[in-house]
Formats: sequence, structure tokens, C-alpha cells
Amino acid sequence: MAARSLLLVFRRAPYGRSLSRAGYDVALAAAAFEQPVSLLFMDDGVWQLMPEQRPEAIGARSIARTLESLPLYDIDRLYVDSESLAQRALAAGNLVEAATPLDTAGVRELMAGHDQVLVF
Amino acid sequence: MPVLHTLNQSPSGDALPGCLRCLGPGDKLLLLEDAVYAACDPYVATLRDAGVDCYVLEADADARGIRERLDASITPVDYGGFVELAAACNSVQSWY
Repeated sequence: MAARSLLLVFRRAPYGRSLSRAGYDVALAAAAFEQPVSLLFMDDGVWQLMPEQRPEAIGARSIARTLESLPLYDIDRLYVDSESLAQRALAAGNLVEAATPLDTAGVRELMAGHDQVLVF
Repeated sequence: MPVLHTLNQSPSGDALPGCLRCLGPGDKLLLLEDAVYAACDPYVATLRDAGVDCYVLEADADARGIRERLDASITPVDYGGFVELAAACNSVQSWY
């Protein structure tokens, strides 16, 4: 099977709905089939990158912990939209995982540079 | 009689403006689920301007790792506090 590069865009906050969990399932499934996967966090999706998430109280599994496990599956291309961070008074240094900050031009380039883009 | 307004949508969604517009004097606002981000800078400024007592459900804030970012003007409550707020108000209006 020829490799098709896949970009997963996370636009929603974690936990409020099951969408982001589905995104990580797709990431892990694609990686299992050795498809190159990149993750982009923008809009409310940047909240997924907050450290010290404690979702036990609401009966959910930790998104932060899932993020930390991604390198084990060779998913190590994580990007975050700088504009979305700025709108939320967040800085790249506040985040759980080393996501590369991109400006709008960089985001456009990232989207154009993948064979397939899925939004969660 | 005061109304307890509960908001469970992110402040970047479309529920917050309508909710803010409908807050009456003496009403209370409780932030739940994805609305807990409204208790953080920069969104919290619009809540302060609303001039009503605002609360945030601490389990939802802790789940999302934002306890340290909650603005001091917002009072954290547990589930018992949620019940007390509902009991102290005449009705509950849910914004979702």
C-alpha cells in the first residue's frame, strides 16, 4: 500500500464531546498501517495541549496522556496554530507536548502539503 | 426571583453572547464542561462586565487542566455546590 500523508486537525476542546477521542483513534490506526500522520491543533483544539489534565473526576480518559504516548507510535509531528494560542492568552511554553508553533502561512502550507486532511 | 444560568459550551461558541444578554440582576451563572474556559483570561473579562455571581464546576476545570488559570473572580464549586446553587434559585436556564 502506497503511503498517503495524513493531517489530522483538532479544532474542538477536549472532553465536551467524543470527537477528539475519535481523532486520536484515527491517528493510531493510520500509524499502525505505517501511514505518515501529522497533528495540527487550532481554535479550541489547542486546549487539548494543557498539562495536568485530571479527567478522572468526570469519568474520562486523559487526552494529555494519549498525547504523551504518540511518539511510541511514531507520531511525532505535532503543530499548533500560534494565532489560536494568542486568542486564548496561551503560550507554546504552557503546553504538554512539544508542538511546533505555526503562523497562518505555515498552517496553510501544512494543509496543502498533505494528501488528506481530516478535521475533528 | 433569581435564575441559575448554566453554560456548557466553549466561550468561542455561539451560546455565551445570548446567555450574557439574558442575565438579570441577582441571577447566577455556572460554567460547566467546555464553558469552564470562560473563567480564563481573556474570556473572563466579559463575565466580570456582566456583574453577576459566576461559578465554575471544579471537576470540569480540573479535568481540562486549567485550575491554575481560573480567574479569582469566579468561584469554584463541587457537585454539592451545584445543587445548592440550583436550590437557591427559582429556576435553571441551560445554555448549550
